[in-house]
Amino acid sequence: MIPPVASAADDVGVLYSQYGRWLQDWLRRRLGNVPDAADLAHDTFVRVLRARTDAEIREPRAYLASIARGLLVDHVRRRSIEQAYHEVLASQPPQQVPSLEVQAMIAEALLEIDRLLDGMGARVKLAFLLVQCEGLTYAETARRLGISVRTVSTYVARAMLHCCQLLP
Amino acid sequence: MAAKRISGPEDAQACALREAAQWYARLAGETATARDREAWQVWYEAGPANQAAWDKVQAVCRQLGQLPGALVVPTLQASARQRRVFLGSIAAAACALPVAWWSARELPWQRWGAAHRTGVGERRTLELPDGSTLVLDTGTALDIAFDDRTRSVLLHAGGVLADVRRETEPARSGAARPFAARPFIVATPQGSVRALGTRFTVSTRDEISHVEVIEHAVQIRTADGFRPPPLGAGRQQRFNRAQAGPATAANPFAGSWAQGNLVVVDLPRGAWTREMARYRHGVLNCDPAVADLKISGAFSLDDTDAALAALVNGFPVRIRRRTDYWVTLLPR
Repeated sequence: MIPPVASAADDVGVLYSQYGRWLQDWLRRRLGNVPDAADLAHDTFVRVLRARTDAEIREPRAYLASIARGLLVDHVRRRSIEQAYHEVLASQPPQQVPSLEVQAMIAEALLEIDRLLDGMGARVKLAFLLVQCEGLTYAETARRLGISVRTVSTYVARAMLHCCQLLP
Repeated sequence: MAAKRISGPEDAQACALREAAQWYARLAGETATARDREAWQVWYEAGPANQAAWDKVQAVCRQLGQLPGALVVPTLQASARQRRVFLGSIAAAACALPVAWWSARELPWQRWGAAHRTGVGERRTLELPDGSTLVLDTGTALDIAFDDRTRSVLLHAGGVLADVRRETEPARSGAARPFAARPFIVATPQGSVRALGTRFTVSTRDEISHVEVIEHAVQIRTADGFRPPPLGAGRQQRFNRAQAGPATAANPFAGSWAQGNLVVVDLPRGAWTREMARYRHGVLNCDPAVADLKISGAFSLDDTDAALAALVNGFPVRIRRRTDYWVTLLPR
């Protein structure tokens, strides 16, 4: 008789019962709070379920930690952008503050832009954003960053290429 | 730049993208000429690969264009700065035991990452999983951490009025462990406040925590482990990481802010101004000449302009408004 093939979900279930608690503690030490740690631990196991191959996981803790680390970075990114956006809003007079729905959309858009620009050098990113978002000329951007106009142009091209490569 | 390779379909695409980006940079500059635009047109019409590449450039521009431009750079820079601090501290985050929620220094991102926050002048009521309630004061940031051992509120900034429900044994028996009511604790960077009863406020500001007990009692424990005697109803006490100050009589209207009123009896105007200022955007200050004059009354926190008007009506002060957001109290 052919033994039943264990489903991917069963394997993850075993992984969860053995390492779930450990992962939550690992995340809680880095996040400082329990509910976020529980959420990210859950997301980690969902990722494991989706990524499941037949290959045996030899180092479960290292494997879980590497997935969790990626989720942690994105979680921190989201929180820090929400916070920075709220600080910018707090310094505006109340009449100029948009509705909560619009705020949520803006925060999400900022997050996507931040992800899109990730991996670029800080000055390349800044030059690009000054031109694109603040509408500065190349000459103004060059003055602001202490670089030549030619370098601004190079940075803009490099940044645009980086973004295009990330689009589907 | 990548070295030249034998061309193939993927490389044609990559090449088109590179050229599209360079065309974009050329045309986005203020020195672009009509001749440049004509040359671009030729490039664009050369084939579908170039057109597809240019579509991506346009998609990037659209994505960046959907936001208020002035917002983007300050927000992304501020958030990147915070993240550098956090990622630097991850390396050092060896272990933090559940008993001590904070290590030697409060990590700034904990406040910024807090799940529950109120803005300036905002007030909110939170219903907790055990039926207790918290009213959050202006400028508060906190996290809830309930597990099977404790009911904890991690107060990073601001203040709360806590209404604590007593935990009773659940109706069903056969539990794995004998029932033990979980302690209700409000933890701040300066230490913790454990409920021995039902109603009290805790706030943390400028490295000092302040507790006012409205009903029953609480037990304070500073981060360094100092424990003063339990603090009873109608009493207040301040503490820092190391020790607690003397317990004194509390304002009989402690926690009135939770209903949107600042109720004071014989409070010096300087102190009144400092309290009010937390509920307003901008600057509110008080000329030293009137700072000591005492005020009594109930003042609306939801309409601070009305509160200021009430002040002018009842007391010898006048208000100078440099702008809506810069108000000073002066003698009349």
